[in-house]
Amino acid sequence: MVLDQLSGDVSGAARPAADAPSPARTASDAGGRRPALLILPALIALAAFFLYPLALVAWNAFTDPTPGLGNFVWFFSEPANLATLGRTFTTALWVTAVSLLLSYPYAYAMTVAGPRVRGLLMMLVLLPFWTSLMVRTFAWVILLQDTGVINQLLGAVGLGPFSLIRTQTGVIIGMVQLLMPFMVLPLYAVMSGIDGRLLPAARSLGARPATAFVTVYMPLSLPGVSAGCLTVFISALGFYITPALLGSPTDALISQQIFTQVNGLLKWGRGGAMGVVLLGLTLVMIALLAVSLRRAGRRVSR
Amino acid sequence: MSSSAISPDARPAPAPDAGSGRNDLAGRGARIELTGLSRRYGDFAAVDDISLVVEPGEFMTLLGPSGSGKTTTLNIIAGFVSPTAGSLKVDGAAIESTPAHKRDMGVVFQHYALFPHLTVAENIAYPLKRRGIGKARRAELIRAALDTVHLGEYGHRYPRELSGGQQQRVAVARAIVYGPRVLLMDEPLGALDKKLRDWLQLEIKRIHAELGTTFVYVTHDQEEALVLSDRIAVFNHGRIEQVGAASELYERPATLFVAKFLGESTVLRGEATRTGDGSAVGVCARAIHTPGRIEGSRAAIVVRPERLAVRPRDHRPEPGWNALPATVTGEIYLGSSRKLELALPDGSPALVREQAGMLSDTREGDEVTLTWRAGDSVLLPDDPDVEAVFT
Amino acid sequence: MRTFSWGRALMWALCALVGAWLVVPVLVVIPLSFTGKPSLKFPPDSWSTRWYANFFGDTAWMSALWTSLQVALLVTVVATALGTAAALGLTRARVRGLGAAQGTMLAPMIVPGVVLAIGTYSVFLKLQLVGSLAGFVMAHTVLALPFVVIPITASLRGFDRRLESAAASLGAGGWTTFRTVTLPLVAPGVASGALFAFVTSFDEVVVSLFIQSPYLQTLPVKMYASVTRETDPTIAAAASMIIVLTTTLVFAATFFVARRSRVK
Repeated sequence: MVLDQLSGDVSGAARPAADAPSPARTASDAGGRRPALLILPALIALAAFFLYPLALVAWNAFTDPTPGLGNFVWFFSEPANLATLGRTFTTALWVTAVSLLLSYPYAYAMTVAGPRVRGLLMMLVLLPFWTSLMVRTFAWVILLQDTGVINQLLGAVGLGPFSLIRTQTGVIIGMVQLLMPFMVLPLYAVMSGIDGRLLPAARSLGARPATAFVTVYMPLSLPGVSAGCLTVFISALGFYITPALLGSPTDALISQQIFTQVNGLLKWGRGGAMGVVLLGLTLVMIALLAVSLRRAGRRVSR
Repeated sequence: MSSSAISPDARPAPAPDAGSGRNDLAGRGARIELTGLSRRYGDFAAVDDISLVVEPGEFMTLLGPSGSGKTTTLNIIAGFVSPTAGSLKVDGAAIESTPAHKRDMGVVFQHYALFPHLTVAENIAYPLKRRGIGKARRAELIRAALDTVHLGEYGHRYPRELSGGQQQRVAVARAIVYGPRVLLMDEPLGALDKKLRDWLQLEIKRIHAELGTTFVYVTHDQEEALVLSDRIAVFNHGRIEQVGAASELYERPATLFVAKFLGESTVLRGEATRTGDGSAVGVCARAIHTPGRIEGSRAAIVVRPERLAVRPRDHRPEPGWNALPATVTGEIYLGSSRKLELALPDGSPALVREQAGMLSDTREGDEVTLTWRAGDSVLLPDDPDVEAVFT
Repeated sequence: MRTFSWGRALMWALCALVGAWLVVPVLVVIPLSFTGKPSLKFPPDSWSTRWYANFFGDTAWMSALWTSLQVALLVTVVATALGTAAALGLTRARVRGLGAAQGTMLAPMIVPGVVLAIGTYSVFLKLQLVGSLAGFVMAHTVLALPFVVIPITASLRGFDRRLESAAASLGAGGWTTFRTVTLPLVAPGVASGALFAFVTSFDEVVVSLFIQSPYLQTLPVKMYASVTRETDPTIAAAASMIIVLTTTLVFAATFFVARRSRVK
């Protein structure tokens, strides 16, 4: 059960509310200032190994090799770069859409299942969630080979062979499976909080089962949908390992390009500019969602 | 609470036309007929072969302890649970296979089941939209429904912004706004405190009188059942023990369970033998007379506390009266009345209620004689299972 | 209500498929690690344990494993200590800027790995931390911090602070109170935070790819290199062992926590 709680937290659905800390009572609190010192070590570590590196990326983007906006001009004027950006976006959208389509009924089934089946379904989500990303990507490399398991199975029913590895399809298949736990867990967290009597209530008021679902259940599950979609979408935007191993080098995503610019070509400025663009996009997505969630949240939770 | 619509009478006659024409939502109530209805879950029978007729416009209460089958029965009528046997008719038409959303019944749920993402007005509009009612007519009906429950100003609020009692009234408004033939209520006041409950009982009674709809009301609270109902069906172990008006159940209970579930009583157990004009039951080595007759000999005599009188120990009963020696073990002063707790020679308890102004001068520890009219002794077959329910 | 419906049947069929799809792909790796041929062809047509022997006999694989374990254990200690202190501060301090501090603490979760990786790489080049144990530990610690802070903050918010006042009234000093009352009660949160820290570090690839050196690699980095360069089934043996290890760890932790909460 703690695993559920944890994974819910990590997926961002059940982040503890930032309510006001309870009033200090013990003498050791000294008016709530001394506990603040406890945050400092972690903040210093973050400043040195998280904020400083990010600042350096931005600094490089604007100064390497010469100060100015040259790297950004380069990025936005090269059609190949814009194609990469577009491809990254569409890939992330596909991954998000497919994950949602598969996860929504799955999470719903978890809420209506008996305790045993629910436990099983939860375990099927948590096991990949905990298994190393590298290991799971490696498994997909094996499966998606031209002579791999999937093509063998398809061949057995007279289909294929399809080229899956080194294609966008392969990347999407792999990424959906890798990121699905981050969709299922927040969906389940929100859905399990929906009052089970609301659907019978809607039906007693004259709604057909499908209408009841669309007019009552779906609106109430929206916070989970947004949280899951956001998590999956921004993870997909920045994914490196999976596209690098399953995708084609000619159809690279932006994170692969960043890697190449810095590690292969030593173009710190260009890599930095791409990093700034990617980070900016991520933050914009989060801001958009936060605004829409707050608007929705005002309706429900005020 | 100042509405003049509230009748001072606790049990008015069924009045399908009461107040109609005054309320825009008023309509005709439907007749509900349950015949041989059962719902089994494996070996367990949640509802076990019950038959019941609810007349048009009647206020019928399903009363019983938790797990007695009353909520399952309500859910069968509403269409949330399908019966495993028996038939269910509304105005003569069988509806077992009609899905819940086509039954045209209003349901008020125990915890209201208001849609949290919709405002009060949107909640009430929900059934109207499902029925394709136009916007202008919708606004009128919502207004009428909110006025009926005295929540005219709350349409734009969200359910969470309302108190429990207000939410409960919104649930009622939502369930009556489309003029359903039947209103089903599942412990609608269960989550509220006593004072609010008393007031809302009167509100529900008033709404029933105004609308003329058939009400089926589930509760485990016998007092609530007495206040509200035209008739009460007492449930126990998935069966109906007795159906009748409150006075009927109180004065002439059909089973020991009904006698103990509704109101207080003294229960005397013994062997029954037939006499010329009824039966005699041996209690504490004395013969207690009753006009009733039963099959078998293991009997229980039930006497309501206000029918019992306390007399001095040397009192000689008049003809046609029963008498038993007893010791007063406690007294509870209740203002308008006083309750005396007594112990019979065999140790079993007895309960007497004396009206204020007619109090005897009995005190705790007194040795007394307990007397009552033979005709006030209700003779019932003994049911050893009953004690388990009440202790 | 209990009648058969096509919608329901479809839903359960989809669930079964999705459930299988979540787990089965990973399991392909295990039979593959017992292949007799030096290829990653599935299914294998002959069997052996030679790739396990190869793994344990190869100094590159063994030192990668050893580095990964060392780094992950150190990260667990450092991140749990920093995270517990920070969570205490976040839940109890009453100063301005607490929201910003909390935001910073959680930010590593949302920043794309590659962006942080190139930044960390340039910092480490300046500080000469590339290919060093300390470098790995610090880089992984900041990545693990949010996953430590979240569960501990959650259990601290659920903790009744009157218990601390009670302990103080019974004569316990500040540190004694923390050690004997607070910590035992929020221990499940701390334990899950520690578990998250270990797994985060043990799985990390992207940042590690940049800050590695030929002399100091973590296991996932070695695996990445192996996938891109060769078709050597030793990687399947390594992957199988990681699957078994993490699964065992997670089950043990679940069991431990479940038993603890029963005792309570």
